[in-house]
Amino acid sequence: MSTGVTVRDAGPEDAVNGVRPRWVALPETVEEIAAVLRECAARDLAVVPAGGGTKLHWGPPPERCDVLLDLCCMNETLEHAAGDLVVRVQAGVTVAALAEALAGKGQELVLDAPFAADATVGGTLATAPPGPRAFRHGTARDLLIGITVVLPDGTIARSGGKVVKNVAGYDLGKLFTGSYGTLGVIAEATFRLHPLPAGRRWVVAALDAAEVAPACAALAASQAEPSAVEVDRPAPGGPVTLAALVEGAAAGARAGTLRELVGRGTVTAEQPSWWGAITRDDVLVEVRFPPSRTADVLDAAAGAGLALRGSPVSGRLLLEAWRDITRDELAAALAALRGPARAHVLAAPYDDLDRWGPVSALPLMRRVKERFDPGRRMSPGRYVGGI
Amino acid sequence: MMDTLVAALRSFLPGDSVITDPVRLRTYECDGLTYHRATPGVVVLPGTAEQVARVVRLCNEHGVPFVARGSGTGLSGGALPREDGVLIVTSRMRAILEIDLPNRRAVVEPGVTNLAITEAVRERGHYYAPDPSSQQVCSIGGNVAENSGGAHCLKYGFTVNHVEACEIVTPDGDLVTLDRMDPGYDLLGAFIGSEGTLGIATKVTVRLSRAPQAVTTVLAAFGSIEQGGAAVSAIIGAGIVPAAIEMMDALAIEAAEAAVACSYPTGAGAVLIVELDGPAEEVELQFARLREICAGAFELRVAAGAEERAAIWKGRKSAFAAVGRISPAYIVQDGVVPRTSLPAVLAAIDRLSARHGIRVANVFHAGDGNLHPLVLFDDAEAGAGERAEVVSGAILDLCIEHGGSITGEHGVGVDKARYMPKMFSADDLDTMQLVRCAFDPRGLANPGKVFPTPRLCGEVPGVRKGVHPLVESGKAEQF
Repeated sequence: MSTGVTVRDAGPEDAVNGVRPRWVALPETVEEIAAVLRECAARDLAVVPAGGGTKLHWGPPPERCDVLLDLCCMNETLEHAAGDLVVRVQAGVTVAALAEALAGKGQELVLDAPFAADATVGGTLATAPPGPRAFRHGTARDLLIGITVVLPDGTIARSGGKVVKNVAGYDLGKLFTGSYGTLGVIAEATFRLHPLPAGRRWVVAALDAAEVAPACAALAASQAEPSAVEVDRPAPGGPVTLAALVEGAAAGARAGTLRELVGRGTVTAEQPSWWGAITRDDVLVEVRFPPSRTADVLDAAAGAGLALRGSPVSGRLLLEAWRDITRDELAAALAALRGPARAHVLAAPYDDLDRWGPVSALPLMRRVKERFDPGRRMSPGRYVGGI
Repeated sequence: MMDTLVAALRSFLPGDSVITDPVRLRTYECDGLTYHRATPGVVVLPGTAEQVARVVRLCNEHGVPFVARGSGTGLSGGALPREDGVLIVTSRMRAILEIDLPNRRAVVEPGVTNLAITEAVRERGHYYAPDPSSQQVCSIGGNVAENSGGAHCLKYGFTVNHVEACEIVTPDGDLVTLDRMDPGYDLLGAFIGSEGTLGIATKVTVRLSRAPQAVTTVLAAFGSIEQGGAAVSAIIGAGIVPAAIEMMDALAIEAAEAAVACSYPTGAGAVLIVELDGPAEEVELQFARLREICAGAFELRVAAGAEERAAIWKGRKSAFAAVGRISPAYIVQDGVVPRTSLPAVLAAIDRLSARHGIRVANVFHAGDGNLHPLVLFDDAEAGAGERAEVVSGAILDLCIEHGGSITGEHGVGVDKARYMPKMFSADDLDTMQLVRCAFDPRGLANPGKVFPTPRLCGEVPGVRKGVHPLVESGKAEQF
């Protein structure tokens, strides 16, 4: 490639779900990303963007992959306007490094991303995994206020800005959040921040499965305002650990109120070890459902033999296989889950599987893909409906 | 063309749902931005989503543009009709279809007013959070189109953060559901705030919020706008996120006093309204801190109950209309700057005002840097309107210079389309246009709004056909 950008030959360790690229490009600026993508367009090369690589095995394998675009060198925090509670970063900044920098000014990005030590901001946006405090603060798309993307033809485009309140133009940030690298490359992102809370307390209690739904309903409706309510059930059919987080002033007193609602448990300042974590993601299924279907979802997950973790109050859970699970077993689990919930496969080593379930707007999504990536060169085949 | 279209509309819509009488058509010639007017070709008042879809399909068959309108309260001309098009008014689609408190959801038709949702669930301890000033009349469909905010969006966010799903009629006339529960691109997020250019919402699933345990509303009067601004920075710096922080300057206070006798402290250079809400223990601690921060205020009023809270808000909520009492005509501006730039921008607005001899009353959502300068002029005075326009435009330039936005909540519409190239590059706008082309390849959904230059979408490569006649004649660019 004649772009002036650092490029190396790819090795086996660079494979994306078993598909080995020919080259790895290491751009250091937005303009360098554009240069690489222009070159790839001219030579009809397929591109998969990558951050920390923590979730690169999620999604189906790409139909083809010539260039892995590694954003690790774009790891600068460009602007932290603490007085405005806004930060602008390059996509390759890790979530943990950003959190550390922000904490120095008493602020945080309320994203709760898994694999925080290695996961980058860009990869977290591109995959948009659910996090505990989404219950109070929304998901990545709700915290993102501006974005710079590079389209497959090398066009650099921005939308939003660095003010929270802004309705000028279409919000490309929404479109790129959770798009799995299929529309273009996320190069920079601007987020709204929150002050670090004055205090944090968790109420942790062991519950029988049947107690989970009513406890969660009571917690969600509580005026003590938990920031998050998570459950963890490592053994299918086994006991459930519930943890509710209270943040802010008077956290201790409010946690006491929540403990009374649950009926038992301990109040602690220590985050549970499993909080917001993904333990095994060879097979990973995301389930979304109305909170009133919590009990049915718990039953279906247990019946399928999957470990369960996540937020019944947000109606979002992640299911993990802590043992080998065959393709047919997984297909049966999806069928059972798709009664009370929507279930889609984030990661699984099987090709011939209905990963997504029905999606009403799929034809419109295909049209968006066609406009942004008419040559089908960006992470082809990696997303919903084989987009 | 229009005659055959009207005949086709009458074939499936009840007689009183198709308006062609010129006098009645004029009722719809503008929205809240009254200085842009156009008489619609025909107005339809469909009662169902299927009827909306059929109207849109007919528009496609006839190559006629369409514009959706809710209650017509928009302030950027987003619902300005087309003389050569159909205006689709959703005011007959007013049913609250479902209230589902266990899941904190309500499903409503687009013509339902914002406040009606809250009224339907208030007694059960819930509310719908976004609260634009026009909430008594504005429709939820219009809120979705504009991504409406309100005084409390500092803490609670905008319409896009409170809508879970929309059934829409696409610009092709298909009924499609965009749902946050579905995997795939966040088309719901892209649709909300697209100002009617990506289709029409025919059913909206909103999230209901639990009413806070405690609400404390404080009015602080300061000698100067600088002192008020310093208090705002100190509140944010203290790690407090109030539900709302609003500010009004002396001229805006004078207007509110004349209009609604809100009895704000006399002699104030600025008043600050701060609302804290949440768990009682938290609000109490934050209020103690707020008192310290506002020590420089010469008067501090704390609302003792709902009535006193309403009294404090009365002046603020009536501010736009109130300036009518102190000026024959005015322009409502809507711009955003980073909060820390507020002092510099307000000083610059002062200088603009003095230089052009045009008074500017400032009312703003101080917590998120959203300015609503009211540019006052006498339309009987020759040249005054033009000077007011200059000042109003220069304020937007200031917002852009300081890294802000040309609109925080009123939308681009027809009013600010020409400012879009100042805020965004040609590449930015072309990229947004890709979304438009995916949804609306024929450009029939609310054309002429948001984006400054008409562009054609072209076919997706691979199926490209001949050059479009508009391109050939130089009237449009091929995209």
